[in-house]
Amino acid sequence: MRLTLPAFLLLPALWIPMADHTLPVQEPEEQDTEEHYSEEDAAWEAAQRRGLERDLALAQAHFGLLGVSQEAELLEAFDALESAREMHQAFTSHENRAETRMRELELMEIRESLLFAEEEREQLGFMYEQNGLAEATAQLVLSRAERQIERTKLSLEIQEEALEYWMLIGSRQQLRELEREVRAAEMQVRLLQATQPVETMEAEHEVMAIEEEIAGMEREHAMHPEVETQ
Amino acid sequence: MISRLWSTVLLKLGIGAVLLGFATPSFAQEAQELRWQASRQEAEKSAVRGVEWLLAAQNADGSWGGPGKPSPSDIFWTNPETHLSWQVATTGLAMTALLDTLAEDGLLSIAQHKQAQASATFAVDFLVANAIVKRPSEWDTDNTWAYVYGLAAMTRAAKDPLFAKSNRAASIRAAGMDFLTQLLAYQTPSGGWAYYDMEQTTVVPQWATSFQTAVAILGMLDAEALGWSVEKRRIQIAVNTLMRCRLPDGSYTYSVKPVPAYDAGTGIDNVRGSLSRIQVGNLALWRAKQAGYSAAMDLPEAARGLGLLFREHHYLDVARGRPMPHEAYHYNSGYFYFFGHYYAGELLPHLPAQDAKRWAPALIREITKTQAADGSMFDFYMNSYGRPYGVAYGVAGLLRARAALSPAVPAKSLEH
Repeated sequence: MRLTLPAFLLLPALWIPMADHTLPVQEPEEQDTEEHYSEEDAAWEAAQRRGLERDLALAQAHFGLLGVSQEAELLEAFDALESAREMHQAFTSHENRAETRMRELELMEIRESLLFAEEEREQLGFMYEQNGLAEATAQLVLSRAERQIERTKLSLEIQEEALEYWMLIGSRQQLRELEREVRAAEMQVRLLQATQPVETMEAEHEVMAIEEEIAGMEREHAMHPEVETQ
Repeated sequence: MISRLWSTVLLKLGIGAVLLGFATPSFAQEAQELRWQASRQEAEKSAVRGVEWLLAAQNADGSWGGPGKPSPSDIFWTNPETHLSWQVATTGLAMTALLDTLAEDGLLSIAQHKQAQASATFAVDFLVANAIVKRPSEWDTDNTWAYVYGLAAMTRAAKDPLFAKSNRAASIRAAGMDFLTQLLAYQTPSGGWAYYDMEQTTVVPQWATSFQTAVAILGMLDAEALGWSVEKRRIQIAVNTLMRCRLPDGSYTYSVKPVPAYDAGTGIDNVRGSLSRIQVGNLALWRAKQAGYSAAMDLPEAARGLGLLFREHHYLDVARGRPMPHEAYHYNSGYFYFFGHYYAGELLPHLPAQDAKRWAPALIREITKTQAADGSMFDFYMNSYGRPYGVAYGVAGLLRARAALSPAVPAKSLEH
């Protein structure tokens, strides 16, 4: 996470030098002008000072948080990398083979279902023919048994194709996907390792800029010791 | 010296052993007889209490059971014809239990006897008046339960002295033939029967079970024995179907399958899931074989099946009373309980006396232990049918077991 100060916090700081040059120059009476300037400017300067001090406190707090958040981000990235490597390792050492075997088992089960459906159809035929009862029901049951065989044959074809696809394409696709995930996780780690020092420098720079601005204001004030800030 | 001492000891032991040898059989026999007598008395007492409950529970129209008190599992799908199917089946069973009790001399008091006769007659009239039962829905074919137990009840009534020569004999035969005709119209292409049309939704259903097929075979054999017209080929097909269901471990598959297979593990198609089916299956095959049909069953195998029931009985104990069908181990349902014990009882008269006497006390114990304080017996929440059919099955089973333990009656004469 990159820490930045809201831009509007810096606007008053920019306004200070501009104010001196943009105000219309008048030639009032010496005593009146001096008295008016010192009162308004003192109030304005005090407000500016308090605003800058708040900005400084916020920038310092952000700077302190940055260390923790960067550490968390990096830890998360390392975890993601480790997880991706583990998944890749698990796939190559076990899951690829297990998935293939599972698909082979499913294929075997469908083959056996087909065999069972064919045997059952044959036995139903023997039984019904032998009994010669309820011809209409018998014919209907046999027709449905035939259709069951056809469905199971189609399932078998689909399963055979699915196994073939897995072994030729699916398995490699999944392996490549896992490899990509490992590479992406590695890249994320590297990216964080590169960007985090820059973010730290930016936050540090913001703190320093505000400190310098406060110091400038103090120097300005030292040049007008007769004006008391409130 | 030592040898003489040993000779004396051995001689004394020998005499003692001989004395014990003479004494032991008579004492053991006497103890056994006393145990059998106690079992008989237990069966009698329990059966009479069951009959009292049945007499009190009969509906005003002569039937038992009804759609009241539905459980969550049967409230949503039944219709009036489903209930008529169950009512006819339950009434058939209750009437059979009453006739069996009436056939036992001295079991009922004179008043009970008269009441039981009137009740059985009332039940017969209900069954005759409700012999045509339609299919409840495209899926629900519970009408087959009305056919198998309506037929069983009518054959039982037809040969009972109370009705055989009464003016009801013709209507009993006509109703029996109606049940039989409807039953045969529902014989599936596989040769069996079941109570749902599971998959095909055809006029003649496709699904069949071993146990309903076995009950149908028993009814058809009884009908044939009475001289009612039953095509032998249809009985033989049903017997073939039942034999197809029999597995090498002695169990029966639940459904009639083109490729019957043993269920390993906790499935239903093995002994533990088949304890009740074994009894009715073995009985139907044995009786079919006795009636001249081609059937593979012998009495040692039937006795072995009975032994399996009591060896693995805890599976039925666990299931009894559970509200959801097939929720217990090995998919046992609560309603398997009395069905199995009833046919175990029906098997007893066919077994050699030593086998029948061996298992009858166990059967009595397993039935009587279920009896509630009001005399009812119960295995499943099924509207208001659970108790009447439970008592009917239970009482009939008790009477068979009681007869098997009779000291005077040899096993052969127990056949009815």
